[in-house]
Amino acid sequence: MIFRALLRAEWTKTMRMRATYIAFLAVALLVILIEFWLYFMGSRSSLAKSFRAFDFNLAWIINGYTATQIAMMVAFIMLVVPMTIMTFARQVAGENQGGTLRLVLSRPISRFALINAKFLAAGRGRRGGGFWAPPNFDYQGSAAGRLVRDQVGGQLKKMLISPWQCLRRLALAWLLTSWALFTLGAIAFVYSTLNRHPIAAMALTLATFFLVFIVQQLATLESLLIPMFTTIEPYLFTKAMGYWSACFKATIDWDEIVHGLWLLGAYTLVFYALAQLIFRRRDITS
Amino acid sequence: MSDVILEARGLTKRYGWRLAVDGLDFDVRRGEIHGFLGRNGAGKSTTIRMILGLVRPTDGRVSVLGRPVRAGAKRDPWPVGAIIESPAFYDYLSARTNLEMLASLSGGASRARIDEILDLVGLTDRQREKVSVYSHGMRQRLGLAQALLPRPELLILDEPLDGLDPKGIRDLRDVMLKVSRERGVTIFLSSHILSEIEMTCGRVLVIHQGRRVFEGPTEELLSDSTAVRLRTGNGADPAALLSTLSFIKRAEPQADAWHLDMDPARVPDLNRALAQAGFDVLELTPLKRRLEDVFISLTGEPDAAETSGADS
Repeated sequence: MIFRALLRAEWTKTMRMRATYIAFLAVALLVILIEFWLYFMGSRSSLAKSFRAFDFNLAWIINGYTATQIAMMVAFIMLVVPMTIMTFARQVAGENQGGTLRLVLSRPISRFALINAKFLAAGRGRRGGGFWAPPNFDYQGSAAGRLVRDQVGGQLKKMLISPWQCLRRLALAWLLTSWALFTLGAIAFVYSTLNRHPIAAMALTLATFFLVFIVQQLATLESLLIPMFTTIEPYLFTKAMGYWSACFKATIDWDEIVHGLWLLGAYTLVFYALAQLIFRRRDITS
Repeated sequence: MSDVILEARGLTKRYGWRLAVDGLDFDVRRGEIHGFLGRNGAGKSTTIRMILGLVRPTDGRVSVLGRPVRAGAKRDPWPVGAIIESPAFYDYLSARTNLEMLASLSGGASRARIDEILDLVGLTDRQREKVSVYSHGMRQRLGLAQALLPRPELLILDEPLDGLDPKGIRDLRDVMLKVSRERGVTIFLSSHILSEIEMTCGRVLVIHQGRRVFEGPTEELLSDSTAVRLRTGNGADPAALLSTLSFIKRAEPQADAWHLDMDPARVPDLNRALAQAGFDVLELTPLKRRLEDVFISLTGEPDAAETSGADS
């Protein structure tokens, strides 16, 4: 009962914040811009032209399927990751800095229930950031083009998929990105419980993300093969976060998806448990 | 039902090497308004946070209605409302939405109850406005509203009068007195405005450097004076006589009277000595001390660093 009230309260706060809508609009706008760029700048951009050229053969102006993949990739890296970090990082640190955390904690609620509600509400809010996704997918999948382009054994493979399969793949990719964002959210939550300033929590989460990302990149450099990096590379969460792109291959790589699901789930669980422990044990309002 | 609503025994909080609260013992009885005084950094806010379960004591215990308070754990029932320092709210929500949301975390409140509380603190007309446009005084009143919402038996108010103008202080005081008298709510009031404590609190707890230096009725604290005012007539100077009386520790002449440092219980002896020496005694009064003087005598003169320091 009290958990539902907490969840509702956290949801109310998220949905009444102007920043939430600005974030949603920013993602939607970015995606639309990318799609327009692919459509109108096709004659000038070799990348876009290649998509158009392939699809003209199939009587479509643009390959919506590939356009969505590019849009998702750019939006994910440029906007969704920073916004997710921002949303989760301010959950505890932001309220602590603003003084509202002590107001809430002086109510007859357990910290366990409070942090659970905060995590779920933040995750729900962030996942809701993809509200533009279903209509966008619908349009891309059924109207704008469903051509799969993939390199298989060094050869470019082109394959037309059915509208239903297209929608299914896009929806799956969207769900998988949401799952990946929970891992990032859990890391941000740890820093949020450790810091009084949300900016510090955001900076530390971004620093962690980039640090792991750099290790991942270094591990793949053939000129600099560091055995330890090469060993841990398949288990880095930054590597697993890109697993959703498996949905855009000619044949969906389910092994990669399952590996990513487990790995990201484990990271989320560990970091979330750590955040729980800190939040419950620490004199957070002193 | 126990008379004691709030009890602290050996309450201690240490932050690293610094001892913020040192073995504090006190009781707050049902229905009273209990003042809580201390200089900046004396440990008042830390004590209040321990009472509310926001901070874990290093040692000792605190219980509300006989039930121990455990930091971080769910407390059920929890008949406590609180203002902790400057009340903070979700600025992007209206006062009413803030109250509705906070009420839901204390088991809920009906629309009528929220209306009643908003009316009590005088915010009915402004309830739909966002808190971001509220003045400091309105925020303080909203703070009191959220504290009163769950029908508390104990109200813990940490500096609720801070930064209010005289009218704001009077309004808030009136509300406090009203809920105390009409609803029997016990109030534990921490404030720097000593005149307010003197005016509203039946009992007072004074702490200094985390330790208790006084706990008892305010009247007792104020009457515990060694000052006596003496005024004599017929132009005679009693200085010579006063210097011979051993129970007078110090005698200071003032414009039209003498200020004596002595045990007030010896006033009849002094009166007799003056009469026997032929003095006309116009006034011989044990002086009641001001809380400010008592507070400073208990905690020492404030130092410069304190003026800018916040309470721990």
